[in-house]
Amino acid sequence: MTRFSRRVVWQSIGAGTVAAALVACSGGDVEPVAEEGATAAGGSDCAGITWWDHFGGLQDMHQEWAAQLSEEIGVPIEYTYNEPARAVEGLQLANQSDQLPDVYSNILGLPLPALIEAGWLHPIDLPEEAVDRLPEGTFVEGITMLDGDIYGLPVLSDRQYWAATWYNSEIAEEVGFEAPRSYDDLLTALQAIDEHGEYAPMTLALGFAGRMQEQVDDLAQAGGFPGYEGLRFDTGEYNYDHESYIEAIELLKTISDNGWLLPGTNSFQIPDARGRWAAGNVGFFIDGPWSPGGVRNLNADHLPRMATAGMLTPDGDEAVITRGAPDPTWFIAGNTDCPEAASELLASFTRDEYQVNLAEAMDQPPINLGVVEDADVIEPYAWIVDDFQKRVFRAPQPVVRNVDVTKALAYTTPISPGLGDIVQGYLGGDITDLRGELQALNDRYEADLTQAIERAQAEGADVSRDDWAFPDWERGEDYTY
Amino acid sequence: MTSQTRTRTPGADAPGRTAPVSADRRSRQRRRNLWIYAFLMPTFVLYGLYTIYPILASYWYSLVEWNGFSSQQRFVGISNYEAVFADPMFWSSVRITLVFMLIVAPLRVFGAFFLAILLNSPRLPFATFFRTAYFIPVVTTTAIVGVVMRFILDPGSGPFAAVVRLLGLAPIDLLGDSGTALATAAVVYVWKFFGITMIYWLAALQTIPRDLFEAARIDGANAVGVFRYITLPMLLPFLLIISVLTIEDCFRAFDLMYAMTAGGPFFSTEIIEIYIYRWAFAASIPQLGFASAAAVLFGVLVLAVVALQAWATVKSRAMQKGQR
Repeated sequence: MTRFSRRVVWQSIGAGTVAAALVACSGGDVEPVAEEGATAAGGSDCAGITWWDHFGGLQDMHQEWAAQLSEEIGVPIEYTYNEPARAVEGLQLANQSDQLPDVYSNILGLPLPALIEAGWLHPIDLPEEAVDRLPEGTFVEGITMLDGDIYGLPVLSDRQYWAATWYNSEIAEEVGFEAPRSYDDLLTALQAIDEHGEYAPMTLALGFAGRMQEQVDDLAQAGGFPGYEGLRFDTGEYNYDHESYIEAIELLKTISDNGWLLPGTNSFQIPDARGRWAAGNVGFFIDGPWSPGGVRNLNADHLPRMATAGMLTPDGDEAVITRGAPDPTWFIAGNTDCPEAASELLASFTRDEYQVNLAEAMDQPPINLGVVEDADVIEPYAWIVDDFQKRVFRAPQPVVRNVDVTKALAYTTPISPGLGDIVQGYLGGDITDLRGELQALNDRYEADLTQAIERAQAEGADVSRDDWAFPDWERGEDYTY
Repeated sequence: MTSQTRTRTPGADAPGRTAPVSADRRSRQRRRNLWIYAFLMPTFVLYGLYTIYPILASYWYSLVEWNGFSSQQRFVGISNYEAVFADPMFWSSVRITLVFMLIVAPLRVFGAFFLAILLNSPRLPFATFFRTAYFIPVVTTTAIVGVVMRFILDPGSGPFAAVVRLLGLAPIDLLGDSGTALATAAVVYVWKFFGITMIYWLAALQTIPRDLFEAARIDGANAVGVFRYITLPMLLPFLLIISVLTIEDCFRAFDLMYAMTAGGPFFSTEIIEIYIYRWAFAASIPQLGFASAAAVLFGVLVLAVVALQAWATVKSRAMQKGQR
């Protein structure tokens, strides 16, 4: 029997460690074994498609769709869901390590041309029949196309709003309130729940500044703000201190000061707030149309209790919402080895079968809103999608009128503190002069946009501050160029 | 074999006969050194890849404008540093980091000191059990501690809320109120990392010779006298080094703070590490150059503490020599 001295054993371990380190540091790529036919179907080096998205309510459906399409296309498809607050970071790190998924959802902050220039995107080869299935005007130069090539596929409707008022119908019946239409109606209902004593009147994802910003932007627009995200369509100027912003934030402040928010709401992220709402003991929750889909994943028993009052306005007037052309929902990675298979997967998203699945997942509504009528969805979801078709109009967009605008947008930087932070600070008592803070926010955005335009101009872009002004815009009408 | 190599041959030191022996010894020495380097290689490689390279890279990134999305990096000189200095949120995060350190470090150093004295007492029953119990939070995953603490302190349904209800008080949102969030996070941090400082003190206590205590008792010293005139002076050199180590440690609170508050509400718990993370990863368009500049400045702050640590080490040794 061979005997090993202690030295020999240690030397072997040392050598083994060095070898392991060298293997690990050399990349050690082990090519996955492609299924038979995968290479031919996906592209010359296609071993399979990786697919990432941030749609929480679609997880199960997408998992099944990945399995189904994997068989149809003939390449393995690996689907992964990333929580929205972490999705950007995930993609950023994946890009830097050259591991971008072949197909990913659009959660990046850069305009399309900048993403193309940076190598993030591959053109999508959509068959004509797939393009024909989408509504007219779906693809817009500078938003989803560049120089006639499609780079982003929209499959979700642009006609939607994100600050819908959802309420618990059982609590409404027990406490005795009707669906609110105005801010005062909401306050009356919340007071009734509070006086009843058994339920928490309301919760929000107040700890996630980005979500608060989206919701206040929507409430302000519905309340009469002639623009979107603080920017006026008519003059092209920032006007966060507009009365409708003040009214929307003061509504939330009143709710908070009256103690009508579920304890802990101040630090709730989206999963925290939606989880408490789905538990069934909270009267109201402000959320997007995707709320039923998210709730079903957490507690399907809550679905029958869900009801919606749509978008509130200060005085109960008809809400008017404006949104730009459909944004890309899906991209193909610039460095994909499977452009053909990835295009096939994306083309499948335009099918009625997928669009119906999308509706039935009750997340963001499908781009073909008509399929919702025949889909198996809860009544409030069907109602809110119908409401979108009545109230949401096409907004003017600088980038559609002048593609060079994207060159300036690529130089804009994030603003901090943003609107969501200000809402959080005002509700928590850290900010006392709301109007002053909103005026300062105007100044920060204005300064950033000005420097971005100047830099783009210096590089030869034909862009000016006037590109953001649309004096001929009319509220409540689809804008045409 | 060993005895043979150690046997000295008469005349072996004579010139002309030493060369073969020396060559053999050098060869053995080289072989041995080779293995030493082989063993050290993984550490060198990994330390270089995951510590040295990122540090050097962050110096470069701090001089460029880069969003992490594009491969294009534009050299901007010290513009990022100017922007960081001009950002009031940066100074706010510096202030919060220092306030956090000022709350946490004394609690850890002096709290652990008194606990170590207690646990070092030969009269204390179950001393080993208590030492283990106090050390368990240290080995628990920090992010898990953060998440669990959020549940415990949940003002709506956590155990803390139950106690508050039992006392007939209104719900208290310790982590959701900007007035209490930092202090609450600091207390959790102290509980989590208390054990490390306690181990430092216990180790320091072992260095005091037992016969000093015995001699003091024979001379009639009581417990207070022993503590005042023996334990305390003997531990003074350690106080310096443990304090500096703890202060340095307090700058690494990202995982716990992010899991508990993510820097909120309204930036009230945004320590520098979270500020850097926010600009590097959580922004809609990440600003890696700007974040790197903030990281380099944070590194300078930590470097100042490291210099303090080096000074404390020298001073501590000098004090120990003086005691001998």
